[in-house]
Amino acid sequence: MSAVTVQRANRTGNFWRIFFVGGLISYRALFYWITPWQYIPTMLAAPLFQILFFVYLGRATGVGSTTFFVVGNSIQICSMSGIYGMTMALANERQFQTLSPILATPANRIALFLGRGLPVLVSGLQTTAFGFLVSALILNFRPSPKALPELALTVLVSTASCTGFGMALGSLGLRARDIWLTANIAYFAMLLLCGVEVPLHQLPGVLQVVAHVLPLTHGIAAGRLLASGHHLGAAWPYIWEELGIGVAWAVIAFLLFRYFEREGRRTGSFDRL
Amino acid sequence: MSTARPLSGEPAIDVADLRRTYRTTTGTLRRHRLEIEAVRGVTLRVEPGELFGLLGPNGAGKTTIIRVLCTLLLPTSGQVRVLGMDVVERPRDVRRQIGYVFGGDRGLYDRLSALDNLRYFADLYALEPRMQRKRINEVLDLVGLQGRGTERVEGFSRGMRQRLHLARGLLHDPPVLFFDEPTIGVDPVGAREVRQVVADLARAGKTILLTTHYMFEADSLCDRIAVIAQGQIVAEGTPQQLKAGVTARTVVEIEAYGVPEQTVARIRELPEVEAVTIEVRDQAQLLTVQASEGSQLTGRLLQLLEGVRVERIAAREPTLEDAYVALVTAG
Repeated sequence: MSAVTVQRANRTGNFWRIFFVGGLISYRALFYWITPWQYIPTMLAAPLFQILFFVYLGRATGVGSTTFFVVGNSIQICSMSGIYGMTMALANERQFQTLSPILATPANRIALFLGRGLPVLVSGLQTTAFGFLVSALILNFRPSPKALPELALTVLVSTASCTGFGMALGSLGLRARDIWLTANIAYFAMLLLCGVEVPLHQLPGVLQVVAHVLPLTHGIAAGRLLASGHHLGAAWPYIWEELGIGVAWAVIAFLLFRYFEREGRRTGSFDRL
Repeated sequence: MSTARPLSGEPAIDVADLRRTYRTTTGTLRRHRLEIEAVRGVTLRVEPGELFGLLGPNGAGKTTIIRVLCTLLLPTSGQVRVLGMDVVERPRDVRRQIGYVFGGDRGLYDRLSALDNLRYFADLYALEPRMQRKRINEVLDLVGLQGRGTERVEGFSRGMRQRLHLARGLLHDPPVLFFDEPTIGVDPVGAREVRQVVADLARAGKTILLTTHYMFEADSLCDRIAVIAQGQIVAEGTPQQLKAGVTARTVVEIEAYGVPEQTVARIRELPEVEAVTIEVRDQAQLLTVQASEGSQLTGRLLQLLEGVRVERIAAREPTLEDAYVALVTAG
């Protein structure tokens, strides 16, 4: 039946192909806002207005500096990609009924799962970089040039951490009927809880505890230190914590994915909408 | 990749006393648990190179069996092996050796081209990257989608989507193929093409398990058929053997208008009647009454249909469809 001899790729090479090429293909297949007329308003314009709104509100009411709001909001807007993009990259498999064909393949699940995070991470970085850039251009946000690479590192770690959290939400979408409600709540809860608009110490104790296990909280704190002229040494503990939380969320996400895969086989829920 | 074979004498697909129960809940405040037994003790063997049909009405349990075989569902009990490998214990090994093609127009990435859909699955099935392009072109040719690969799937007709499902299932050239109602919703010409591909695959030595509720499809394609109803196999054999099971019957067809339900019920209650089906054709109803051989039914039926406008009444030879109806309506 086959004139072409079908040969199997070596295991390591195939792992990285699924991770990089597969991750990108699935992003193109599942991310709703991929066309420029959807991407620009959703991933760039709306987050920009969020930054402008809070910076001008802060200035008008005198409750916080421009740096406070620019750093907080510019880092937080990566969750447009981290939360929504990652949820789409996983939960949409069920919505589009492509989950069964994928799970019927022998593909390595770690590569299949984590590879989806990479384009989401890049997209999140793009949104945050755009936020900082426009803030520098029109809001007179001026961190010292020396702090820029350190700020970039903080943004990278924070975006990766947020992507890990988004993976966990996306994994829930493999089982939950309406994960978008949860994603919406998560996005706005992060505005409140991660110290984006309200300093962490002003939150009630319980919410402070929640804030410490969420992504971005520590990254935003590190970003503010760096943007206001502190040395990297002062920000390192926050960056490490952010990284640790991101890794923890990614591990939880993968365990949830495997759990729901097993549950799906047990209950037959893969294609039930 | 197509060389995997079961040990000599071992069936390619071996299902022993398979049971599958779904548990679900209803109600919002007061939750009620429901148990639905979709498959109730199915046993079947498919030999290497055989095209085996699983024939049954909607909800009979066909898809559940296929999904267990494709490692997408765990059996509640029983043993299921593909090429000698247990689907519960060695799912990853089983997945390398099987292709799964299902019916319907979902299950593809609409925003991607057909080529990208296949490229993605070529990686998931671990095809060597250097031969992927050739193999993808080959399967596109095979299913009649040559020249359409760069088009987005969202613009594909249902028949084209079905052919793309088929191409995806064949990408890694698996020795065992599962087709779950591959022609459902496809126009007659498209369906004939899909059937032709299935027949060619069978000729090439693939082991195929095909589910369908189209009689002629099973009759024309399958070496053997199992008829499944309410989760149980009610008959198994070659199409000829199944037909032979109803040759000792009388079949009467009645074309009439406005037959009341009570009249149909009274026909069913006649002692010699084995099965009654009703098909609506525009304004008319076509009643097919199966009865034991030698029954003199026509007069009694006309008596029962008094007051109903009867257009035509005639006895005819039983067909495979009658065999199927008799089997799935029995008990």
